[in-house]
Amino acid sequence: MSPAGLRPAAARSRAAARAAAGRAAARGPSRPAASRGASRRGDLLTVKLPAWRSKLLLFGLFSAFAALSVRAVYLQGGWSTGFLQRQGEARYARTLPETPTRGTIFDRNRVVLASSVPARAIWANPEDFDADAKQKAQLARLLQISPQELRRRIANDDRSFVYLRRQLDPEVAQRVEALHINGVHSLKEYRRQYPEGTVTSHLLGFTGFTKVGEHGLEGVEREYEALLGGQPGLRHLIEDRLGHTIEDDWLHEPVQGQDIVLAIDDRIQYIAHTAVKQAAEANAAHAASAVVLDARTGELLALANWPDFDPARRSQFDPNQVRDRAVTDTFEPGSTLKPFSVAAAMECGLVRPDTVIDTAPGRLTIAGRTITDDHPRGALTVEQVVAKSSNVGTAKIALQMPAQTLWETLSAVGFGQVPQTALLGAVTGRLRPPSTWRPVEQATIAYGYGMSVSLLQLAHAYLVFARDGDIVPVSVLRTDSEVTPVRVLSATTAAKMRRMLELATSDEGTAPAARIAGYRVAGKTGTARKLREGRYTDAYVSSFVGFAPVSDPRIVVAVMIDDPHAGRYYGGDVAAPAFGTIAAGTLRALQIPPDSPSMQFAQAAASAGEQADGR
Amino acid sequence: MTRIAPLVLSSLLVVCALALVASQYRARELFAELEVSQQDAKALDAEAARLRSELGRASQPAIVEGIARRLGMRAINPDRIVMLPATAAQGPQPVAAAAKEQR
Repeated sequence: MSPAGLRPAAARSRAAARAAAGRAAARGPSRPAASRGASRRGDLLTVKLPAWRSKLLLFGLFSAFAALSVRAVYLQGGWSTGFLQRQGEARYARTLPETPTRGTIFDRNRVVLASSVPARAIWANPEDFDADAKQKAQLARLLQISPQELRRRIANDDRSFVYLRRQLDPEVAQRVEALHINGVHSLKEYRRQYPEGTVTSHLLGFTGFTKVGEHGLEGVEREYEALLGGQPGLRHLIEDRLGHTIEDDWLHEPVQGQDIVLAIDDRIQYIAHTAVKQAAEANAAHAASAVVLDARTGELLALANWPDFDPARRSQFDPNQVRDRAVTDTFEPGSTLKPFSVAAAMECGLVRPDTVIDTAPGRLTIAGRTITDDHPRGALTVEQVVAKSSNVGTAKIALQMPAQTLWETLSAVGFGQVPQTALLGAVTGRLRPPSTWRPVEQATIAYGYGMSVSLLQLAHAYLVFARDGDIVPVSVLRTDSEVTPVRVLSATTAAKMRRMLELATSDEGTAPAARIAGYRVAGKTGTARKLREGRYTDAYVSSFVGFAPVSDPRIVVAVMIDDPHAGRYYGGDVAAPAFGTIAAGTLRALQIPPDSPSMQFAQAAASAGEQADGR
Repeated sequence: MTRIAPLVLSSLLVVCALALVASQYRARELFAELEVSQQDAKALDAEAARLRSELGRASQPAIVEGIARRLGMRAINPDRIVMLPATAAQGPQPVAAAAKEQR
């Protein structure tokens, strides 16, 4: 129904006039014909148009459709499918990198030493960031950053992605999300955790982040990066309109990080770490280290250093604390080297344990240089030379053999050799070739001056005595397979050396403090002056290397105390007690039966039935 | 026959087409489920790693030692170890009867 019927007549006529004017304006010159009436309309319809016009139109439309069809066939029919595929991919396909999970590091008893646990990273888009003062304060408190720091990061307006805090606990991240602040988001990531903290810090090292991901920066983390880290993968996804994944495909699959099982025993590591710390603090030492090796397999049971660091507190890292001294630092070993010189001489048949060497008057001059003993003694047997640690006696023994022989023995046990141990920064130490030795050097090298070793090398070398004259490489990973040992000394020489080294821990030796109840122990003290800028100083490095139980050695323990200045500095006073603590704890942890004669007595008494019921 | 064949075939085609759509849909549904399960598996793995790490933290020798001391326990002392022969058959071979120290 037309609304015009309801309008007043005046309005109707006005509307009609407007409509007529409009039509007139549209038609222009044909106005008279139109106003003349409907009878002329027939003529208009019969107006002859040129035939080509409609054909042209038809042709035009047809060719447009044809062009479309050709294009469609071209794109879809297999001639050029790339274009549509690219367009499809741009809309629905996504390629996501997949970071592998870093492997876990276990100790020999499968206790976790390092593992990656889920964490969150909180990031903000400064452009979208919008929070009131209260929210900002809450956010800063949760992220444990100062409000000024937060403001500074948010102020960075030309970026659309700013990390506010990384490696955050998932629980805290949830509370941050609960604040519902615009422009603050969280990302999933992993955090490396070291449950043992400072105890294993040097050995394990730590990881750090680069643009491509997490990498080991120190210690085992770095050394076994290839195993632990894995390889990142690339995943190809097809999503639907709503962002759900429909199909996936690996461009290349990620290789997950492998777990590694170290030879370390968590308990022994703790014992060594505690003992090293105590010894260093009690003696006001600059630093201290200890190494525990399994004598049968060469496995590294413990490796501890002081000062230590907490891997969880990265901001406080100090290179002085982070360095794995037992592995990377060398020192002049001093007397702990003597047994090797004596063993080399015995191996050549030059001396026997009971050969008498005259060490009086406690000094010996070779080519203008004088070697002295701290405690001059008279005639000593070779056994006593080792037990009492006589420099003069050792020099006299060493000068009897060719330099080459001494060098060969020292090299065979690993001094001056590239370490086979897979530990970061393991050093070769310094042992010059024998052709460059002057006679006095042959004497000084024989008692451990003029060459340098790391504590790990020293402990490793003592395997020769703890085993029957052969040596196996140090293994950082737990090994179940037998390694073929390399023979250095004859079994009889090794047995004689064990006897001498046991004598060194007797009351007449230099290290009675190394003894432990219930077990027979053997070892050698070392007290060497420290070299600084080519001169010997008043600072000392005190060391003790030994093994136990002597009847069937199972462990080798090396302890080094750097620069003790609490009055005492002899290896027998400073390092030997720490050795005792570590060895006793280790033997107990490994449940090795006691072998000392006093225990045999207890056994005899018990077997007689006197005490069996009472206990 | 020639009249019926196209009819049968075309209805067969329709049925097949519907089946294809249905199976595609089902496949996508299952894929989504798989995706969710894989996410769950990952989350559980991460949780397991966290718990193992927590366990390691709780069983640190330092903590165990602290608790043992609080309970008045002491490290085994060789004075208190008695050596006993294992059996008569094995003769006087000494055997460690040392009480195993609890970690």
